[in-house]
Amino acid sequence: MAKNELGEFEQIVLLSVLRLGEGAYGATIRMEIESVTGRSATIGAVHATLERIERKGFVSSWMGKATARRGGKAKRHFKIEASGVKALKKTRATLQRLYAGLSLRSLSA
Amino acid sequence: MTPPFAAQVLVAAVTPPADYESVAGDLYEEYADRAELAGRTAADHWYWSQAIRSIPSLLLYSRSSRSLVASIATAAIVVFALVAMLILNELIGDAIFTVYRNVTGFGAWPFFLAGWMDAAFFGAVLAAIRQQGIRLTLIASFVLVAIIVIPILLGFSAPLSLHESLLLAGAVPAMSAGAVVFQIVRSWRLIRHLAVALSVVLLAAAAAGGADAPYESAQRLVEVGGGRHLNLYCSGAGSPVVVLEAAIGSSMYVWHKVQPALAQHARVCSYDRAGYGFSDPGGPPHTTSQNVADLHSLLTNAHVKPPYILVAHSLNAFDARLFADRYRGELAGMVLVDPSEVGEARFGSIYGKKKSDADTAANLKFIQTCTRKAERHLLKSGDDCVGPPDLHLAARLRRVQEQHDTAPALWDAVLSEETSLNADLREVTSQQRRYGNLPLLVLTAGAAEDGEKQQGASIAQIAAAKRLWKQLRDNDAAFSNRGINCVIPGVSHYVQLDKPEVVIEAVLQIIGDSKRAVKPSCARLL
Repeated sequence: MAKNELGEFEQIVLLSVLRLGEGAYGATIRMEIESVTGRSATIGAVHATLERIERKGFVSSWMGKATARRGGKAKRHFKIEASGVKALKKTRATLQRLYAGLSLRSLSA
Repeated sequence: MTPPFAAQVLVAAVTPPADYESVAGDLYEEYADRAELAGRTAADHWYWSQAIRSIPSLLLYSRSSRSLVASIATAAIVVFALVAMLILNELIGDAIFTVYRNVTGFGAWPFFLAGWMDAAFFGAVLAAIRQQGIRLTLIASFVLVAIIVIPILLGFSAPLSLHESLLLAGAVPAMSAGAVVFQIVRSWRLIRHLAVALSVVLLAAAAAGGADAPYESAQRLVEVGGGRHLNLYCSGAGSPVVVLEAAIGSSMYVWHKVQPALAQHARVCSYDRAGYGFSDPGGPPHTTSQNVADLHSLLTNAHVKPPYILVAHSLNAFDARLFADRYRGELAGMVLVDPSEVGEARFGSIYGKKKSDADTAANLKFIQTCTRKAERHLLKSGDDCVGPPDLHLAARLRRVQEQHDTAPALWDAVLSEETSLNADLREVTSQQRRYGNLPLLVLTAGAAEDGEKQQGASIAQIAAAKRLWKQLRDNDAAFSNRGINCVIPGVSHYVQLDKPEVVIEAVLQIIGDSKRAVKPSCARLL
């Protein structure tokens, strides 16, 4: 995959970060994916994807404080970056062009 | 309330150090919420599921965030997991084969059940790790088959028996079935149920496998003089004590189908003669006289109190006869299992002296060759001297047997027994024996002579030899007023392996007869 393209799961993770705003971190992102898409996601897959899209510059992250609710562990917060928004726009535009003029209803017979 | 400790360790092991804090924290947070809402068990399942299914993503995590040390650690974990799986597989395999040998009466079904359950379990685990696990499971099952089949095709391992082939053929669909069922029910409870069921089968196998334990290590090493120790294994309770004497070339293991069954009714002892099994090698030449002296010292020093019922096989029936001459008062009965006879020289008159002499010479030469090979550690399972491995044995026991069968000490002992045979022949072959009223049962193997067909003997010659055997064993039985010779049709020379129930019944009869004044009968053995 080219450096600025988004894979399907990357797109899902990135959109979840966007939807969650300030409350975006591993656990909430994982739950957002499950509740919105209905597909099960593992925490390992979520973190691996976050790390990958962070390297591409689509999101940035910073460590928060340790809390008792997390067994004394800190959380890593995520925030979408301008290039991330750009990548989402591009992906949406690509998909819209592909869908344009198609009637899925006529194909579903 | 904290997540399962082992699952936490798993997460720590596979997560890159830089991300451990946030990954473990995320898991903990959700675990706590779930435990509150759905209960601890459900939360535990969820945590395990997350931990296990996260392994592939976490291990394949970007290289840039991973230090060299972390990469090495990851590689080490993967290797460790592979080795652990191989060991687990070996243990499960052992247990399955134990089921195969020990659960009789149900045929081979427990063997297949345990094997396929094992396969289904691994299929379900694989499906649980990967979301679309069925393809992975299929690949894994074909890899499994390849790992087993390729070495056989290349000639590195022994071919599979019919049952093993069936087990392997069924393992592929069983693994897929496990994966498919997991995909459908998506329940970790399924994995747990399978694991519990498998453990139950394995534990049962381990309990049944206890029957092998005496043959996997030395039992009681008893001094018999000159600092030499012989390995003695006694089980059961009662008097008289049944003493099992194996033939040339066999360790006490040859009685493994007989001793456990007899031990339910009597005290039974088997032992390894000098140089055999776990007994010390060497010592004086292994004459019949020396064997008898060793056996008597062994029983005395181990405080195994007379009276004894001696059960002796083949060539070492001579030991039993000489023992009876010397210690008649200590015997309550005797069973000779297809015993060797001095009159065997007379078989020259049936098969021709030339063939008879040639057979004897060839046999000695064979033993000498094997002894030389053993001394140079050239023997291995599957060659002419040792013979093919018994694929029904658990791997552990198979290794022990191979060690014994290739040991220079064993072949020295066999050679010594073979060449010492004539040393005290006059005393051993005395026809002047009178055992009084000693209950005595001679078992003649009806099919022992049939192998001569392959050696070019005619049907008439074999029939004549069978008649001669019967006559010689009848003479043997006539040493006692309460002796009888029973010809058991269709059974080979190794009666105790071929039809153990005949030997067991014979010994039980002698135990009973030693307490009543009746003559043994053949009716119950047929």
